[in-house]
Amino acid sequence: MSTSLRFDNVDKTFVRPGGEAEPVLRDFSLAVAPGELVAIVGPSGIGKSTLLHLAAGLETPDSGSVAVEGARPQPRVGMVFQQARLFDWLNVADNIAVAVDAASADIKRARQMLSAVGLARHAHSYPLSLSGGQRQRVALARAFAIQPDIVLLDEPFSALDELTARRLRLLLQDLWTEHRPSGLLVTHNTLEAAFLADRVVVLAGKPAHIARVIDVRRSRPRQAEDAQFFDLHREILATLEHGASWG
Amino acid sequence: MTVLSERDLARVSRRTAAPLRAAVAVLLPRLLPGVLFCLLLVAGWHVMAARWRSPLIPDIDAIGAAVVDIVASGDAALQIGTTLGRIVLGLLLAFVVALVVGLASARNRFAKAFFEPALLLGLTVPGLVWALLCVIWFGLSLKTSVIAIALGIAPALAVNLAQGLEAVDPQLIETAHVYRLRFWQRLRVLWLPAILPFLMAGMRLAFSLAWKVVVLVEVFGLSTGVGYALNSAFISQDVAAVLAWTLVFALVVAAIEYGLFQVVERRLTQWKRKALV
Repeated sequence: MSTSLRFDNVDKTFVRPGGEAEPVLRDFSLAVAPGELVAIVGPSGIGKSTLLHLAAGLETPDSGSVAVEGARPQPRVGMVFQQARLFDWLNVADNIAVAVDAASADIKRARQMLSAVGLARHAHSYPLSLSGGQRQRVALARAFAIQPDIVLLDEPFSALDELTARRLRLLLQDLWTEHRPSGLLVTHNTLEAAFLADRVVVLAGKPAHIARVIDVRRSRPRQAEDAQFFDLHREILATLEHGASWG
Repeated sequence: MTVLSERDLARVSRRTAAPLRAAVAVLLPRLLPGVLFCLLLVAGWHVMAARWRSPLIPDIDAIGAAVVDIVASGDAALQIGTTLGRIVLGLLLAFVVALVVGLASARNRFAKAFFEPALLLGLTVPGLVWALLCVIWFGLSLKTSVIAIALGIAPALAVNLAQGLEAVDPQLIETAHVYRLRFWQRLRVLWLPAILPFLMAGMRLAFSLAWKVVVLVEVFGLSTGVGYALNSAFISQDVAAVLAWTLVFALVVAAIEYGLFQVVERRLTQWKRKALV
């Protein structure tokens, strides 16, 4: 199977301020296929965000390898964080344009993506004048405007109210259906994982290991009210509770 | 030819008067306290001069005449221009040194500890010491004033720059890394805007320190500049001329503050006002 993102036998240990070593990942392997969105769920502090940071190049593994592959020699990585992380002193259009320019992507994409996320009339607004939901839309537009090979999503909707988060999940689904990058989604929201992902990987233990992989066999576009997602949500929760009982 | 009726004229006058009234309403509360201070200072000085009637406290008329004299003769422009030229060169040299030291201190723990004693020493040594040492070491030349200014202000500038660089949001640094922003892009959209408030504060402080150092160098060892003019006035016990030079230079410094620093700062931070609209 061809892959877009691959973790092979990755070990990662952090050293706490007191000098205590805390192994987070040991011999961890996972492959994400082209166009696939894999959700990572698990308890807090288990190492979900570490996986994203390794994929983004913000951390390096102690041993093993992390490979991002794409159509280009230098694969493009888009990332959406819990907070939008925009440059407050650049207007919305420039926030997207700077990423597009750095990726040497088509600059027209910046404006197209702004329209796609419904913010065309806010192109010259500054991030601080936007609502949290609008800022996260800009972050999504930035991630997709670079025509990414892979998109990394680090609890992208957890700081928003449920109504806004719901709208943005639908927007993300639309963007994913249209652009088909590969991706990793880290979330605490098991229903969100079931609704958005093609596969849900449940992590447990310390150092983290894959407790279970759940395939979501639903084509897109999906309906948030689909009963299957609630069944999957319960299944994921049960796995998490089981994992927690292992200690 | 179009002839405006009285009603048209009244309408035009109302239209132009409204923004003027708005501007006055905004500016008056801002300017009034400062103007009041200046008026009280002049009045206080006037009372003092009238009360003591001493050549050591010249009256307002004598100071005014001295100001007119140095400005009309072109001496003020020449000497202040010379002093400002030295300050600008000293500032540039100090900025380059402060950028290297500030950048190293912000990015590297060893460099921070290494430069710490030098910065502490630099912040505590009075400008007078640098002025004296530079006159002794470098003699009567442009180099003397430029190096003395740089030594006097580089530590304060470096500390400000290091603080600014340390305050850059690490989450934005991560974002720039993920999106592979190039060096110049990072400089333009991340580092410079983030350190701008610290840079402006540092430049203001540096400018005020620089002028104190350069005047000392000019007093001790140079034959041009405001310091030299002040020294000449001091030797002839011309208090009115000392005050006139101080007043004119203070006005130039105020013009640079309001006409340069504040304009540049307002322009570079206009996004904040737009964001709040």
